[in-house]
Amino acid sequence: VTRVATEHRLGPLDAIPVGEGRAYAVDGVQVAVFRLRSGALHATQALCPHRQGPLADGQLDERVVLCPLHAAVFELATGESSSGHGTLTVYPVREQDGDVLLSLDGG
Amino acid sequence: VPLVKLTGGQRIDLLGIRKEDLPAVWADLDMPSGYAYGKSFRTVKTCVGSDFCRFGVGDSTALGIALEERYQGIPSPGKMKLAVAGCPRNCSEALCKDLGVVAVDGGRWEVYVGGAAGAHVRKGDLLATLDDPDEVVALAGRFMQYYRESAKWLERTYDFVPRVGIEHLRAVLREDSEGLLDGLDARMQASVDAYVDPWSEGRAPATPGQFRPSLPLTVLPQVPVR
Repeated sequence: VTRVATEHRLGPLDAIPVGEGRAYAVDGVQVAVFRLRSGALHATQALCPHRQGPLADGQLDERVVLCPLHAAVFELATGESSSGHGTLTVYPVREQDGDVLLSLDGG
Repeated sequence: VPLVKLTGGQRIDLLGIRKEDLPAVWADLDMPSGYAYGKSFRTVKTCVGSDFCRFGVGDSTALGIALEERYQGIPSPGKMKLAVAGCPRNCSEALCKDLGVVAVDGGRWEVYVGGAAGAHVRKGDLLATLDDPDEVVALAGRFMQYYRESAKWLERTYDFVPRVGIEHLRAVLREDSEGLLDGLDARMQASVDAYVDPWSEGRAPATPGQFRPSLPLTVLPQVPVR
């Protein structure tokens, strides 16, 4: 992971299959990055606040991710839960030249 | 492997293996998946049947194997747990399965649907009594395909069957009141033909990083070793 301004380069976008999430360790922080079918990218904290499920393994659509352990529901864009399981930290994430760039600040 | 368990669905559970070790474990085992993790067709539990039980009136083991070999791994809105019992004493708990088959006197088979014995307990409703094991396999396929197409996501048969009603299911699946049977048979056959053992994905992952750790900085699973 190299630092570009305040952004971290997480490696190739192709490492995340379309419609799935993958987890990364970014400067000691665990982050889940989701690549939606529309092409949009979202990043959230990797652990579900309910019982620490791995959100990168969750099912997702264009709007929400479901935790694989107990189906807690979170909005990908805001981190808010529509199932009453708290709010996820979300991080700005974008693609540049085929790589995923993520910022831990301003999340 | 931290824990080995023999399950009520007649599987062997191997629990607590790390995600990234799964391909190697599957390769060592060289066994088919048991689908313990899926919203899918699970297993067909059987009793020993007429060969070895003095009460048995039907070969439940052979019918159970036939059902399981045909419909293994079929995905569905909720779990589909099946059983075949060789007599009405219910040793394989067929009366409280999503689809249960019970051998009765005269070489006939009763087919029950919508049973459950988990957080919700319900006896299955009698869908039909049939003469021939092949008819049971066909009716089971029709019921499961109708459930796959008509149920809500995560709606188990114990909710689905009472919602649509057993009389409705008898009409649709036995008398073809809506002319659906040919289509149900064809689409179930397509699913059966498309079956691939999911553990073969261990040899060639279906997606990049499929077996990467889900939480790179956390040692998973967090379980005690007995």
